[in-house]
Amino acid sequence: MIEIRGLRKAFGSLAVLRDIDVDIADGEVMALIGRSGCGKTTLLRCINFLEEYDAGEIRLDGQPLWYRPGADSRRRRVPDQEARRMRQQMGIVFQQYNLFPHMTALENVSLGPRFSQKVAAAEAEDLGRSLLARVGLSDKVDAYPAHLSGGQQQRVAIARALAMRPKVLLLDEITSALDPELVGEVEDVIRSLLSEPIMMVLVTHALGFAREVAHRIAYIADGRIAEIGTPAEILEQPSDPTLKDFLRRIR
Amino acid sequence: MSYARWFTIYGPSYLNALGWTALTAVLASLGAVVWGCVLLLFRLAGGPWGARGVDAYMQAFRNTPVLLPIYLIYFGFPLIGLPWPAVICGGLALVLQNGAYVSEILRGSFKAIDRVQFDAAKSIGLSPWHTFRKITLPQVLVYSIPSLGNQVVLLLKDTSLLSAITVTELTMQAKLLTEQTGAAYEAFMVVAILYLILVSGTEVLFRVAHRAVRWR
Amino acid sequence: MRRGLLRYALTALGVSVLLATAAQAGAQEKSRLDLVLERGKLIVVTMSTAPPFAFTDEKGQLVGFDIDIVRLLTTALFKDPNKVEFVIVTAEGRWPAIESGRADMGVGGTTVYPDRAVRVAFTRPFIDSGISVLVSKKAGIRSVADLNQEKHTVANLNNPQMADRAKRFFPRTKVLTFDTPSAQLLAVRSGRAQALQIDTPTAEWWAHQNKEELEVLPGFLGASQNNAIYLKPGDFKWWQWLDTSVAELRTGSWYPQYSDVYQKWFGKNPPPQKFYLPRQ
Repeated sequence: MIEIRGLRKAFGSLAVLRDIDVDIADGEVMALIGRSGCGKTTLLRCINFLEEYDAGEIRLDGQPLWYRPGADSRRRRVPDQEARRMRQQMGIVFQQYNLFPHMTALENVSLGPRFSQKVAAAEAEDLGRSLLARVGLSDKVDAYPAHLSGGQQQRVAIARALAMRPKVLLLDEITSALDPELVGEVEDVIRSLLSEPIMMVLVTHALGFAREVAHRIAYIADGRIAEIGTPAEILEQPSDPTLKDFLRRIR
Repeated sequence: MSYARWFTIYGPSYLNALGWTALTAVLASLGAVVWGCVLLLFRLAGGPWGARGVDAYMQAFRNTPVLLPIYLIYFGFPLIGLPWPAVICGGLALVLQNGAYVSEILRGSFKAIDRVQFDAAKSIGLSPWHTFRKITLPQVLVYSIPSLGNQVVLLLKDTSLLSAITVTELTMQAKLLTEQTGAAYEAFMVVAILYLILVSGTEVLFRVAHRAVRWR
Repeated sequence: MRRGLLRYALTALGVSVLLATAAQAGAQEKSRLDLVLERGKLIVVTMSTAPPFAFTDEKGQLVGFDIDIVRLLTTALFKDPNKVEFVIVTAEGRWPAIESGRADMGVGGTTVYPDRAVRVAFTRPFIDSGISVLVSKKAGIRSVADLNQEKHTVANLNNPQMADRAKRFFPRTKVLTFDTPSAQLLAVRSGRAQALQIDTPTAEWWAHQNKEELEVLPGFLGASQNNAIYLKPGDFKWWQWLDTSVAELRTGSWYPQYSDVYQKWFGKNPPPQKFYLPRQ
């Protein structure tokens, strides 16, 4: 499980996250919703340390991540090598896919196991093929990203994240950049993962999809979790006035 | 003297000289690209002092004519106990100067890489070294192909300066034949044509290479 | 692409043929003497690193024995030693400079050789000289025979006479070929070569400048050599004026001026030109 306590983050004088406390249970799918700029993407990026944060603590299965208390009571970043090891327990999928354009789908997927986890080349390739098969791209293993549709690219990106065999999958608005007719194929891949014992945190604007797959939805406003609950509670009986307003606008 | 006759008599010496020009140009170009990559790595990963050091190096080499390092290395190295052959000294000078330009070219291409890729590389746990080697470098090199082609052409032409330090490349050959026969036009025109062929060949090669990249 | 390459080559060939024919057809009717007088200025091609014949002094001025001889000729033409423009080239650049008509004549420690005279015209010599060997003292070379060993390297200029002499006098010695006398000297001073061959006065000049480092081997490579003015062949009137003037400098009416210049650069009077004249 993931435990987040007192997480704070500011960009200069602009406070983006102001005291986030939340737990995510094993196998739980948590959706983060909120207005643009509310801090939900930043929260996601703090979880796997693509962003540093100013205060607070994140634990994964009880193990404190990213910072260690220093001798002078100021915290210290863990060494880069250790941070890399910690990060391998999480996978992230980005809004813009962020595939490596000079590598085939297969190379994109097997790169992480091959060089971060020092898996043998043949084994990494086998893993890559099976993951691409799993996201329905067996026939595209040798295609370069430029020759794939947005939906296909995003599926490769999911396979790339899964290749690290993560405990947590972080999904950052993974369907926002897609043409509407391509959204379904990506959502199907996520649905197929629900049977796995993997935690997922998804930042999304697709409330229908969030309601379908998430166990809980957290509404973030002004850098805080303003309301959290089951999809039914959040989407049908919202109590926070700004959430009501948000839902009205988005529908 | 007709060019046909000229070429039958002196063809073999020209071919030999052509070989030296091509060999120096190819090896020095490879060296310059490797050195340019190393300089880029220093700039990207060497912290503020790395960047400052690379900047100072650039200033030193971009603001001096390449004949200077050629002379300094060829005539200077024996004084410190390194009497390397002329072609090595000259090649090294070309590598050192062109490496500076190459690293600037690569730096320009580096800016063209979408930053989000580095997030992706981090997220799959790649070390900075693997990120450089597997993500940055291949893309930077491919984006740089056209500019690198220009730089190689410049380097190819600069190999003529090695005639000043006894390397029997094309320009030296023309000088020797001029002294031998007095026929300066014939001697230098043949060389000019050979340079044109080499340069055009290089340009074609880089254009083909650029087109051969399938992922763009 | 291949067609583009062919087009390049053909264009280059066309341009080159054009230039070569233009150069050959350039034999003008008018004598260069008239041209020089009309222009009011003499244009002379020379090297700038062959002391004491033609070199650049500490102030960056082109000076030397040959330069002063040219200034005497300029005075004869225009009553002004400064109406002259010098074109500085490398060793092999001398011949095209003359052939193309870029310069009217050339000087600069240039030796007369019969095979050279096939393609450039020479006046009678204005100084005689020899070819000497300048060696680095560190090398412990005492004679030309010492130099003739595989372990030694000699620095040549890029003319065939240098190569021929090397083959004849020290066939075992390795050879490096440069395009300026200054590069030859650098080669010896940097240890690239242990010796160089050059006109005796140049060798002596350099040895004098670097007494601790360099010395001139006794004896000459072959017999004496003559240095002369060179010009494009075929222009009799121009050659005649130059040759007459050199004759007057060495043995006639301008001998005093010639002696002064000789005295200035070599610290002694020129050898007597006529046995019945008293030594000065």
